[in-house]
Amino acid sequence: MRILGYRRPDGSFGIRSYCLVIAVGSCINQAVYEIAMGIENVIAVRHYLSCARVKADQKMLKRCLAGLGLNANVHSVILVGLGCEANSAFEIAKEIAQSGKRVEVLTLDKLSSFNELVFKGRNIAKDLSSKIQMEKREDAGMETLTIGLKCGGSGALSGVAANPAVGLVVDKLVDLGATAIMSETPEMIGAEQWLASRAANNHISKSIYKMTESMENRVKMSGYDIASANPTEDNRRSGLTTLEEKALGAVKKSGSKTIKGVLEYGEKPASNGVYLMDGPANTAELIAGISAAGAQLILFTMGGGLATNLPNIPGAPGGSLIAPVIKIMSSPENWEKVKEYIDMNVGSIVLGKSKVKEEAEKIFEYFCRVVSGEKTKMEKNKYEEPLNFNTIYPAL
Amino acid sequence: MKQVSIVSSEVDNVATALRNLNAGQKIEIAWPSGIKKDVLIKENIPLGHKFALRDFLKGEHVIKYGEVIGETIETILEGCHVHSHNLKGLRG
Repeated sequence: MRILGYRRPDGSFGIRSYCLVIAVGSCINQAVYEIAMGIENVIAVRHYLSCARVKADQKMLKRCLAGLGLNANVHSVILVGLGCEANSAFEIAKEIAQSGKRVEVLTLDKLSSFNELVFKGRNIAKDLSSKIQMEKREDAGMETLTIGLKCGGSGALSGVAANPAVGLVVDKLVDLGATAIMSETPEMIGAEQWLASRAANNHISKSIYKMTESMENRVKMSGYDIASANPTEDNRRSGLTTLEEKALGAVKKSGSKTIKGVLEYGEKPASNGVYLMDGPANTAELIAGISAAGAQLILFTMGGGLATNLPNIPGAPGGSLIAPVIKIMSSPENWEKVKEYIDMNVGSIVLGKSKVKEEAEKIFEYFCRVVSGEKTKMEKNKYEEPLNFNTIYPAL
Repeated sequence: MKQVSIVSSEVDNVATALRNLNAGQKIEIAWPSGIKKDVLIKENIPLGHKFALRDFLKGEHVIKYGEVIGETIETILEGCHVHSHNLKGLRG
């Protein structure tokens, strides 16, 4: 099984090819927007974190911005800053440049005006855009792929339809040498035991418990207890009885293979296989962190919750700037209303007309076409959401 | 044949209803490997809810997705509704 990808100087392969214009801090968002505006394959990476953050969160931001630049879907990077940010644009550039990619830095303190910054930035962006257009896809192996996992709008049947189907796809990809990252720590609470039983060693097993305990305790400080509040009244009405049942239904999308490690938010896996990343279920923050960790594509399972019942909007959005998102819906209802935005419907499992295994094969076939260039529904709609990074501590 | 319930794993001892099932209905259950069994539904089971694939004593493990999702807090007969009234999680 082979794919067609864009070769990067460090030996990785992108399934898409973009130039990122990255704001080192939120103060320079406007320049980033103006630099990238209207130039093909050039993406503005704006976000809302400035210097008014504690060191731990600054470190996270640096890791994520460098990680986005290192993502194999990224051809080149323009880092833009004021020049006075807590994170040095030059240090982030150095990290990305180790991959051999072209990285440019523009900081306002070294230029005469905001307009000069935008003018220079646009010239570089146009040059990089034309280089991207000349790139050709080349043959590559499945082991060059890292995929992210996400679920949203879950319903009672997500756990028996889309999630186990994606789990089978993940198993197959991992057998072919690929890497899969599952995050959403709050969703793991109740399924720790099962996840820990899949850990490659005792140390990783302990890290899984540590990660979920820490999330549970942080949430408890707000007065909310995830363990006792779940399943919610709505979940119970839909048929879910215990916390374990709800959590297992969600994490089954990670398949059954050995868990090779636990990652910090935005951290790149050290090898191939299945990894867990500490992070939130919030879509924009999860997509940012998992893309920073290197995911080139995200498999997004959806239930039949409210978010999938709204007409022609991509419920629980998840338009990603860097890694395309394949959305797979469990509910056979309302498909006509949402099919413009959701890629696949595995509702025939719910209707008793097909088996999880058959739907997994269909997902895998579509997945192979998407990694080699076919556009996802969200890409066709040019639906892009701003990125948001997950901070642990309050803004100062 | 169209299935009206789903069993996620070979070792599961409950099934999930894929439509509203009525008391008195006799249905065919299929495990993923293809093993089949007829079960008489003894209570109304709403779509998405679980029912027992065998008789349970109090304190037995209930298995769905191939994993323990909790233990029974009373006797449950095959074909009966398995939910908050007779099943509780182990995690508390």
